[in-house]
Amino acid sequence: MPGPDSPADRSPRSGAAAPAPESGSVKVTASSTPYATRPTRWTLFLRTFVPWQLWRFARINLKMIRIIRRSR
Amino acid sequence: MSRVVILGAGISGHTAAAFARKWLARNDSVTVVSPVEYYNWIPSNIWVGVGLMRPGQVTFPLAPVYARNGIEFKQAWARAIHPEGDAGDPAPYVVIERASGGTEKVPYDFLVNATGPRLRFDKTEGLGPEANSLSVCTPEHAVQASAALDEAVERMRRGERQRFLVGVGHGTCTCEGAAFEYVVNLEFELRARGVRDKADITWITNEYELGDFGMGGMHMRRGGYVVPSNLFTESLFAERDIDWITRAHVSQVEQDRVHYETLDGAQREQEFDFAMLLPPFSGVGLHAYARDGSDITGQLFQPNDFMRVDADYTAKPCEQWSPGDWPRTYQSPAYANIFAAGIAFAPPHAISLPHTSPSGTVIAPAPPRTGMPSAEIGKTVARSIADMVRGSGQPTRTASMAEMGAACVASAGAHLLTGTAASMTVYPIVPDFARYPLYGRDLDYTFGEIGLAGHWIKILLHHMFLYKARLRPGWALIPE
Repeated sequence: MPGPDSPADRSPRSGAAAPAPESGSVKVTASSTPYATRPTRWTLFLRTFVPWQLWRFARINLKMIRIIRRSR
Repeated sequence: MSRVVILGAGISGHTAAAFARKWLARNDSVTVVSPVEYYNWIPSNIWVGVGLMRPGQVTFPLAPVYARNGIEFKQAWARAIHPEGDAGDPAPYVVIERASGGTEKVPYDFLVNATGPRLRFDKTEGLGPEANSLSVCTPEHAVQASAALDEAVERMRRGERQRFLVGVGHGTCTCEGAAFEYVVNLEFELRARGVRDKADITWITNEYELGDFGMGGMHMRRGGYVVPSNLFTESLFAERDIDWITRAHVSQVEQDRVHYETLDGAQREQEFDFAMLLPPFSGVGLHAYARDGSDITGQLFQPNDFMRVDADYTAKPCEQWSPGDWPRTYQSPAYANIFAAGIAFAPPHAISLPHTSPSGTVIAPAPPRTGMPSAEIGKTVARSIADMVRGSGQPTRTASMAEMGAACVASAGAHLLTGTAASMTVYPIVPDFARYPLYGRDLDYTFGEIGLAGHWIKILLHHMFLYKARLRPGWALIPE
């Protein structure tokens, strides 16, 4: 039997996170939020570094073809 | 000889028409009814909206393509379905209103409703290009947005600050992905034009968290962790200095501000000089009549005017949602020769968890049915119809969104060497927590990545899908 903290018991959809209590949302100012994830300089460099991106171009295309095949 | 009539020539309807023509015999007829004379590759409207493409680069006239391929084209609005014919003739037909004037009865043996959405700007006071905000839903809207952007840039060049507000204009909107593409392209374009320092950009959305996109978000492996998509979206906004408002229902758009309610029930305002806010969708409002003339619209359509298909529409709490609720064949339960494809089919419920403010306002994205799933559903319906014409008693193919993956490339700046795009795949679109506990999706097939390669893929897809839509040689080899 799963315990009270097991995912099966927490979950509204057999594993989904339970809906959080309703709360509002105030505007988040990007320049002053300390909690947002930001890319490192190395990540930013790789994003437009052509040799690396040529490799990623091939890999992403292959991944998309796998998805299309699996969907069929 | 069988007559197949397809209402709508968007991604789903056009795909259904092309494959129906390919798979049916020459003496079977395929007729497309659409009020618009051109095909629009909608994903590229974003680039029209920031002035990087002309409408002619994302559209082409349908009539010559259909004439060349043996598809009859009627430029008209579909108004009513008579699935049992009328007192004089039991053959089913659709009443259409021709763009050139007058009405016409179009008889059918099989009908595909691929009419797409009606853009419900009227659901929010002051929303839309005819009022106080802009849109990129059609090429015409995108041209208007581009002209407004040019004006804003001119003001910034004269030293004025401009406030940009981009997102969705109602608590139940879908297509957050398109608005997301617009805001990051807008930011990129302002940098390219040298005026970014004069712009304050804010994203406003009905999503509970950034990166929900109406799919309940997604998880992916990244840096030794399984991370949620809000991290991905948030980092894009943070690095580009784009502010964000989540969990918001825009209730009114004035000339220089929006009024919005958030999930805690608070009423707030956000000022703007330029606002691009997408509308909520409904079905186009087709009616249906029985042979005796009685109105049977409620049998064929949900209250939101989307067509009922083989989904489970039983109202149930989200705890009981199941992948099995989602349609597989897209056949109408009322009439076996009627199907709905793309946005026109009524989803059984949302994918994102529902949320309601204390005042009862629903603030949660509707499920997306655009792009790849739309085309895949159109193709599946065409195959089933072709098999039914040959004698199969029921649909032969299925394309449940709970068993189908999707690939999406969201442009985040258009330049051959400095542009980027977020490439994402998700499998399945509707999470299945029984098969994939905890995250609902197969993490081997669900991923996201930002980079120049994504932009190249976006360009490639633009040209490839327009080539395919023009039904050029080898078009059927290009996947949906």
